[in-house]
Amino acid sequence: MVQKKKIYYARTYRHLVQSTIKNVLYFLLLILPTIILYFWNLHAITGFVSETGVRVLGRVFPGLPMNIATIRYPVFGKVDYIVLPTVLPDFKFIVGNLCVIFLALIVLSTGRRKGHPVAIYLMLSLMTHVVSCAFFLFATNHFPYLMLDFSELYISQQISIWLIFIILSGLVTGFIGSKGYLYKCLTFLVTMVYSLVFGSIRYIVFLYLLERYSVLYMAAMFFVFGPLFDFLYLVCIYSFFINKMTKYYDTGKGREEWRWS
Amino acid sequence: MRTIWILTACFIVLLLAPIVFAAIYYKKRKGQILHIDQNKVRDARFFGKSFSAMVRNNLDTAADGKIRLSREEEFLDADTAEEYEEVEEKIVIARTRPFCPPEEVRVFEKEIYSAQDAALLNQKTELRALYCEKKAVIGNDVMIDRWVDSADTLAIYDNCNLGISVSAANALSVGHNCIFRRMYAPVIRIGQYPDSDLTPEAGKDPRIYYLPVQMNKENNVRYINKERINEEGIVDFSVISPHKVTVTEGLIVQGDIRSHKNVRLCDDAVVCGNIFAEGDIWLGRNATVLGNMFSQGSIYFEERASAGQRGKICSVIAREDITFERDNFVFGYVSCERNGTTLELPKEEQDETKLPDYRTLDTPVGLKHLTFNSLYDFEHVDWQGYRKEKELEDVLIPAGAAMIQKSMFFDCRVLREAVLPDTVEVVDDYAFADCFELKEIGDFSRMPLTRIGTSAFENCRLLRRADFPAGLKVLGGAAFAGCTSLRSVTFPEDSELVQVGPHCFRGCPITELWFPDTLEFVGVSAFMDCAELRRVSVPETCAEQEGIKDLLERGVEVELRPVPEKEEEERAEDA
Amino acid sequence: MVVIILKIYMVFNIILMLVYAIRHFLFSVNRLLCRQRLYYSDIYSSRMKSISVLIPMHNEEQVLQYALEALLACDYDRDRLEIIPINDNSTDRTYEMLEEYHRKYEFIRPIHRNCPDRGKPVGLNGAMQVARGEIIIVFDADYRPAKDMLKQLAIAFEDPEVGAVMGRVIPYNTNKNLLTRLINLERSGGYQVDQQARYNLRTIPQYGGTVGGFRKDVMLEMGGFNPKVLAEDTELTYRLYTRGWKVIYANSAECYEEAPETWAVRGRQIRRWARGHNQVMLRYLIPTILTPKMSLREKFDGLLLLFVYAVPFFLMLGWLDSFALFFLGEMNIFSGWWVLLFIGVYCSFGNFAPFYEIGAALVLDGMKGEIFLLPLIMFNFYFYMWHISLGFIDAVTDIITNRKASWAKTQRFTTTEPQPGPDQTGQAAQTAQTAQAGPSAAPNLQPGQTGQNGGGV
Repeated sequence: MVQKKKIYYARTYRHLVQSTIKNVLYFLLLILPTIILYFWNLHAITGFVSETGVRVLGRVFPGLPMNIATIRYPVFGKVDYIVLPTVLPDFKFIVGNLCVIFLALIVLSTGRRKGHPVAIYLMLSLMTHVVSCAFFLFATNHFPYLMLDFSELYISQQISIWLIFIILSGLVTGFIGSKGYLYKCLTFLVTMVYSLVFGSIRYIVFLYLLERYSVLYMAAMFFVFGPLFDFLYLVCIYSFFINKMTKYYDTGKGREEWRWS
Repeated sequence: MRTIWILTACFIVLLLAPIVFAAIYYKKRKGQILHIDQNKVRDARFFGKSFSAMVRNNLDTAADGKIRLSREEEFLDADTAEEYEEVEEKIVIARTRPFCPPEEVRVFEKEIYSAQDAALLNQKTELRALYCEKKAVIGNDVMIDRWVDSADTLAIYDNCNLGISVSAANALSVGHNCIFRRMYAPVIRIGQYPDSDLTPEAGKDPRIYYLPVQMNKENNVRYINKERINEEGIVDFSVISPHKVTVTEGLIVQGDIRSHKNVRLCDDAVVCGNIFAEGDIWLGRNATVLGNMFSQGSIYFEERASAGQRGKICSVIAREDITFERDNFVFGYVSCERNGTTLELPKEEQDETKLPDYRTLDTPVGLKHLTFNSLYDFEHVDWQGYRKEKELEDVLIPAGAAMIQKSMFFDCRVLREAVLPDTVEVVDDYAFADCFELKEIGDFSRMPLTRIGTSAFENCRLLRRADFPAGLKVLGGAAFAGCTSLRSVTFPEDSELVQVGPHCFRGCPITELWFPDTLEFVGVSAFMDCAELRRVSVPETCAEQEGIKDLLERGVEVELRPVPEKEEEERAEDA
Repeated sequence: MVVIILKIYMVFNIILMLVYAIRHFLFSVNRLLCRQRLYYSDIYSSRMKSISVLIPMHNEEQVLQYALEALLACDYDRDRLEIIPINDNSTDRTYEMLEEYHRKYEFIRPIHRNCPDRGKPVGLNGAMQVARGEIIIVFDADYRPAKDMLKQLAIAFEDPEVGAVMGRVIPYNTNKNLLTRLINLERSGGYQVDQQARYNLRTIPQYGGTVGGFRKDVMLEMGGFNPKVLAEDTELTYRLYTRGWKVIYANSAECYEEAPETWAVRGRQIRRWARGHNQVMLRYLIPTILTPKMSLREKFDGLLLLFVYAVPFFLMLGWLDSFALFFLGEMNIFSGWWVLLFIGVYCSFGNFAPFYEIGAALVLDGMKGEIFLLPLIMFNFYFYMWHISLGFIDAVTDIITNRKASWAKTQRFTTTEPQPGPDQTGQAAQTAQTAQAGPSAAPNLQPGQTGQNGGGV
């Protein structure tokens, strides 16, 4: 009537309008097609990554025997990965590693750093490497993996992460009110692109490091630089998205999206 | 080789970018602390009170059609205005004459302030908000955008939209076919006109108004029916149930009802406690709930159903809808989050031809003189007693009463006379606290008093003397604190007083005090701010008591009498 | 054989994580998009219960006056209110300051305890014996209740089913350092989303030991607090539920608190909560399963909630487990494509759920910008996992050896004027020593979902 009613609800019991139709459409038109596309092109994607890897590594290690192997998973279909010769660490290298680690551990467990979360994280990570060094120190020949195994494990882990990320970023962007679909799509796309690029580059870099500095680092690569760092960027992109949505729902238009209790 | 270095660099950047970004954000920006309004106090008349206070405080700045409120604003002086716009864009202020706008004005875009009565009787008027210092009437078909508040009474007729809130300090009536969100008044008549002579008490069992709410519970009940009544014909327990609960016709439930589904009160049923339901609450014809009602669903009042009782405030809250049929009463607050409606009169009762006869609503008369028919009535008074009876002037407490219950007359600000009969043994905590005008309470020395509770007579500023009987053993904390006329306090020689609570006589203008040998405890600050106190006589055993040490520090003359040993031995034997 | 056990454990770990992840996700969606259950804060009533406000204190000279002044300013009929500060073996000026208040106000009735039997539960038990109110409301000494706080909490007990009520806690020293800013986020997620969703879904909102209240007679009937349990608040929650009472959460009853400002203090606090919570878990596991007084959903969520502080320990084991599997050469043992999915979910979904909760909370709270700190919380999780695991081991040792836990108080940091509200300036850290608990087992982002990565494949 007289003046336009301003809708401003207190934070205590407000919630967002949800639109089931929009959500369903969002999943049907964006997430589902992406998943289908992903499955269709999985072989091509891994193939491309492997080929690039072979090309790059071929230039770094000329003459090294390397090729692309294919494994077939049910549902996922064919997946390519790179096969490289295994390089084992020598004694001196292991001892050198251990020395550096112990120094680092001492630094981390003293002074102001002691008990700090980052110090705890780094110490746990270094401990991983200590175990790895110890293993190679005493039982190099019993190390159960070849480069081939690592490569296969990595790629299979990565394809499952990619798949889950599609679903996950679909879920977390989908269920946050019925506005801002542009941001939702953008967040989704950025996450997937980042993930694809990051996963591929990491694959090549890891293979390079393992070939260059031996499989001593394999454990660290799994346990330290593994999926945790996938999370960091996911969370980071997500935080941009949330910030955008928070701001949007605080504007005149956005406020109309709130309902009381 | 270069490619791998670039890749490695990319990897590190992608790896660390999120952390680096977060760290930079942390360094650059300060965090946000969620704001809590520490001074917020909920008040159902908040809108009216805050607006009227702002206007009142700035009335002296009003000149040349402008007033300084939160900013300089133009206003229309209703006392002198000859003409109104059809759409009035200014604040309207009426000071000396009742506010009654002419017919041509259709819309008030800003608030209206009236220091006198106010009447908005033109059909189809729209207004933003109205505050009225006295009685207000809103006619048929008025649309309120925000709120209406009256410092006395407010009568609203039919087919109105009541905006966010309508409230009145004394009474409110709402006609038929109205839409509301929140309503507040100590008495709300809903689906009634101001000239209605209905009372909610008519035809009800008078016992329900003083039955104490029972806390003992029965679980998993579906039907509360005749099989569950006690010999007095009452269901004397509370009910907690995951099922739908139905109270059958005419039953009295002396407890609360909590259901995880719906609650239904059949016709004439009474619930003395609260009703909480996850589902809907349905009150049949003439059903009554004396406590609060809270539903996560909707609430429906059939004809003559009522909530609350006179003199007390209760709430009817629904997360969804509240519907009133007609002739309903609510004492206190009504709030729903979706649709509140009062139903239209049935077609056969509507008389289109008759012009409405608008009237104001009379201010309800409060309880001024209180008498009890019998001792039983006095002893079975509701546990809240008569606390905060703002108009109560005198009470006749029946002979034979042994106890004045806790907080019974707490904060009865104009209570002058409450003569205690010669049978009172205990005056419980806060019984007469903040009865600022209380002068006559009878002679303590003739009563078999044993205990006067905490703050029992605190701030009874007109009490002059207290002559305590021998049997009195305990004077509670702050029992007579703030009695600024209490000059004389005496104990008989055979007094058995044992305890003087902390702050007991704080601020009393007593000059001299004598305490018996039986005294054992004198609490801290017992005589604080007794500026005229010159001399106190206590047994020497009390020398170490906090209250006495205070006195010694202040330099008041304290006589520490030796206690005869014999008495001490006797006391030990008695013990 | 060993390998099979290790593998089975891995699968168990993954399922555990999934269950908690789904729980968190549902909570977030429920709070963000679904119908909310209202609290009773809209009720105006002249039938308010009489209350006793208990404030456990140990060496609180720095903060006690702010808490008491805030309480004195509270809006509650004075004939139904008393304030009982519990001075538990203080060695500073707490005694003198409390006596000074008692000297001024009759209804501030301090209790001084000078005995070797220390701790919050013992103190509360003692105070409950002399308290006159029907309802006990508990605040810690560093809390600053707003004017309508007491009414908001007390109104809950008009509902005959409610045994305890819990309000929302908001840190006021957010801008002190990184830790306090992260705690601010966790608190938002923990209360605005987690607790409210549990209230919406009628599962088990948790009584948090402060900014809350409970019925005195019920508590006394149950024999008061158990001084052997460090998380007396969580214990109260389960004791009430297994006896047919409910705990409700009041999102509108917001109160400022002081968040711990150093990692060491936070670590100790977390470890103590974990220890207490796990003691409760070991005691109430069977009763929760067997009691006929809880509904199925209450039991289900109740069990999940009981395990919240045990999960990080299981995850830590899982991490070691995957480590062992790695060196045993058993990383690719899980044949079958579904395992891939499983592991993907394990690595990602499980980790992400708490972040979603925080994100949802910040949208609801309208708090802009702070969300950018989210990636840093990842590192917090290792920290929590470490301290919670230690707490879990403590609790198990407690049960085996039947030793009595000694109380440690959360250190206070305020030294200057209280500034509840924005623009908090820095305050020098001060030390106070042992005794009684800090705000216990507040349902902040449960670190149970920490999730170890790399443990997959």
